[in-house]
Amino acid sequence: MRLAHRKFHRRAWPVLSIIVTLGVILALWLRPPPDQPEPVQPAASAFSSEVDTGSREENALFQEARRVFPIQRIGKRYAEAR
Amino acid sequence: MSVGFQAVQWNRSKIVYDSIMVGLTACYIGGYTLIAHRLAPAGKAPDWGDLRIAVFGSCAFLMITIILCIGPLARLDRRFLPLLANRRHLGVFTFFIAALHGWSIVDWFAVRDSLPDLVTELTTPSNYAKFIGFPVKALGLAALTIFFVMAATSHDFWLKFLSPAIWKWLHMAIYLAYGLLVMHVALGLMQDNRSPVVPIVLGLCFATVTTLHILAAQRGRSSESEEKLPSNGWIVVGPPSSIPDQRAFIVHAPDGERIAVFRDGDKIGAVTNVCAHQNGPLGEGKIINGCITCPWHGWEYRLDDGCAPPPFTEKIATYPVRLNAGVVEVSVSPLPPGTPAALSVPYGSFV
Repeated sequence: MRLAHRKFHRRAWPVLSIIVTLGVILALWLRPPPDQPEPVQPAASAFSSEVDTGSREENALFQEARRVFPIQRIGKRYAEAR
Repeated sequence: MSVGFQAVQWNRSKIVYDSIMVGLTACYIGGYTLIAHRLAPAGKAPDWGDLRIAVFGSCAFLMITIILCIGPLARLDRRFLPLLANRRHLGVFTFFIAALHGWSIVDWFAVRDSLPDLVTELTTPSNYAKFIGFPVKALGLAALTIFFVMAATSHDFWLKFLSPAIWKWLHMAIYLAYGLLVMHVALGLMQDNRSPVVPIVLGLCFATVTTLHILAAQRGRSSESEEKLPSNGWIVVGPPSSIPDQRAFIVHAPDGERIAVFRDGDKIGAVTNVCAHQNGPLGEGKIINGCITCPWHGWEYRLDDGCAPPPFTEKIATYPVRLNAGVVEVSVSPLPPGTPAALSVPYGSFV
């Protein structure tokens, strides 16, 4: 590496380590409490005329409506909780 | 080294390296999937969409951590140099694994007709003002973009086109990408997953990479501080016997650049420490078949004049050397690349 690369490398890692460490600590500190089981809201489509109440199809739609992205909008839930 | 364009210059070492890399990645993905199935509640297989995101994401993160450890490890211990020689293959492969992770996320939304949700999350300005709730996918996308640029410019064609110095600057963006990835995990997975494993693994990975880079930088700095100051434009190296045979003694010019003073038997020559290929540290290499060989990718230069042996055409700067009262001295002023400057030392000087 040239001198300029070496100088940058020497300065970049301490700075990066401080910023990222602070970020991770904050992320851990401000982590929202675990989710409480939410009352289940039936999906609107489950009550359409094509799906019988209590049927297997309704149950499938019901489960699908509850699916969230595995790493879903924590911020939204956190804001709602507060 | 090559005199013509080749997409990949395959050799036995690269084939072995790549086979091990692909094999270990397949083992990780297979093992992760198997464990996820074992840990799933009885009669309920884990969702393939969720699993795909987790397995490719964690695999890419671990791979990038390993890539970032290779450079400083090779500086601290020469036994890691073989890993460095083929690091670009690992980097490009990591980009593809990371891209699979990104594609799995897009696919997750696409199969549920929720792509507008993903777009909304990424394009709502107010989201970017939050810390907890920051669009983590944007962090991942930024890191993936950096990986793409690095993978796309990894070939020697781009190295030559951009010049080694600019190419090196461009590829140093991986440090930023790694920081973005750590925050991508900290603000994403770590918020949802309450298991202590996530912060522990994340912290260990980041601490290892950071410590190795700081240690490697510190080692270079300490060797510079022990430098003997030049007198009358000449840097004192020491008696010829102080230079290990077929190795180099590295000194620093007043402008901070390093000079590698090599000895090959009774011949002593000084060249810039910067390889013409990727600016690798020539002084950490050795003389093989009469040529200075770069430890990173094996580029060769003659000790006499800093020229690559035919048919190659690369040249590096040489420095005048002299024997003054039994002590080797090297000039601080470089000669034009390819200028003969080596010195033959009488045998008695080694006794």
